Amino acid sequence: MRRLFTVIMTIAALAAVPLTVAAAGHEKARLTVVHGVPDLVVDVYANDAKVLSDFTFGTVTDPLALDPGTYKLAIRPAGADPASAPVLSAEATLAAGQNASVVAHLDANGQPRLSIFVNDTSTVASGKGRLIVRHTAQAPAVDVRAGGAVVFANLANPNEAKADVDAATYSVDLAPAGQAQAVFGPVDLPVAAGAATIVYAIGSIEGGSFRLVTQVITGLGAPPSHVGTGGGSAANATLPWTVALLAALLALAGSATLARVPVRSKRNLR
Amino acid sequence: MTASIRRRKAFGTTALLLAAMLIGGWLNASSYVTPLGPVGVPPSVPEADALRAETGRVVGREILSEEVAVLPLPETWIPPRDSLSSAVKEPSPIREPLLVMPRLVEPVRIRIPSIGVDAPIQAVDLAPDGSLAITDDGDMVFWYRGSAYPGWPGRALLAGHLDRVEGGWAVFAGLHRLQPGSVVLVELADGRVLHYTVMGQARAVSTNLPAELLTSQNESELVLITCAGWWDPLRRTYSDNLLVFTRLEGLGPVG
Repeated sequence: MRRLFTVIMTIAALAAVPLTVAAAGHEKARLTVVHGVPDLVVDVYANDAKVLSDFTFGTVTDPLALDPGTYKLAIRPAGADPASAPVLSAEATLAAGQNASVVAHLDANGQPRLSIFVNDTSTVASGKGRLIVRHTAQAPAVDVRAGGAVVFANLANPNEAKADVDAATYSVDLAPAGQAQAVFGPVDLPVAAGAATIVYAIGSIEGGSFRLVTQVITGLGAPPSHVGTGGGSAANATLPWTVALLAALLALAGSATLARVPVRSKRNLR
Repeated sequence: MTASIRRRKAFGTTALLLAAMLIGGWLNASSYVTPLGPVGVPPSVPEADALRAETGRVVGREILSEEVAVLPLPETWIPPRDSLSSAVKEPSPIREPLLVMPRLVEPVRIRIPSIGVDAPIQAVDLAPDGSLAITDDGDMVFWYRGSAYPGWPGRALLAGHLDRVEGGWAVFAGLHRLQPGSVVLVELADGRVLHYTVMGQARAVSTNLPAELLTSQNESELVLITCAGWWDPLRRTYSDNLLVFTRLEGLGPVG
């Protein structure tokens, strides 16, 4: 019986060839920079290196791929001496794979500041899109409305509100919190499936520079559990089943024959 | 020990060993193949890396990053959807644009010259059971709407059939012949063509697709997927999936 056991173990060992799929290696962090201070053209520095030049109001950058770590961010007027005192500065710590946005914007009183938001890149359900609204404008707290219904109530500078919604184009307007009369909009805002649509309110309502700018992160759908791309008609597709059947028959015949072999230890007892 | 017992023993052992070899060899050969390019860590392309190091930017998004100003809509005039996306870049002389959005453009056609693929692309979501909601159409390639938009950071997933229910090979039957460097062209709805090159292939058990399949945010990539391995007539599916990883190089030739 020991030999049979050995044979079975051999089959098991041969069958258990592992499929290893390497985990994602060292991943970069991603940082998007948003310029929301009107009438100011700037250079953007990260750890004393200039990463953006002549950056103008209303611009949303492509995401910068950065090694994880802590970055000293500094904003100086365009062309200013890199050694000069920055207009704005902040420190951002980015973890591997983290997706964040840094916004230069006005606070509720019209003073410039830097705010850092971590972007929610968790998976969204099929057919849904994530809508994130960030109040980074010199404006009072607002109600964000879609098709007339309040989606996010009383959103104030410098906060964000978010929800996963059906993918569609929404007619969006903004009203001072609790009031009926819109101060902005309506505008058509498309929210794509499997993506995060991040809307920044920037500028100043008083100054007439108020507007919405948008950042989109795609590819947030859950990975499919299965991709059934076979019809089963390929000529050689059933060959392995013939092989398996043959192997099973052989195994059966082999075990049956071995089972009829007298076991030595028993014979010795006699 | 009698001769007949020895013979039986020899036959039985040989039969079992043969069965073991058949099963082991078949599993080794057909079901499990060492990935050429491991999932999640695609081989690197020096030029693209250098470009990224220089600019700090993702190549693909840069190409598609032209932004479109969407003007507030006067109540009396509703523009057709098309003209919104191709709209005005200059601010209107009267009013500032109120909403600025990057364009999301869906892929409509894929061409892989080296294996004779030239097929339309249809956007699909997930079925309620979590699988990709593709049809039986063996001439169609399916883009998963929850994967990245082609040209944007991350991985866009394009699936095509290996063979047809009614018999014969389907659109992605030749996928296994793709070599590192093979060209894949994806046409977008606005007529632009994205040029990808193959980095490598991998196989995964179809019931156990890697969870990180779509999570690469560092690159603008395309993952082509079809079936491989052996057909399970009971579950009506193949044992494996073949994955081909490609990387965006830039805008390709039109036409």
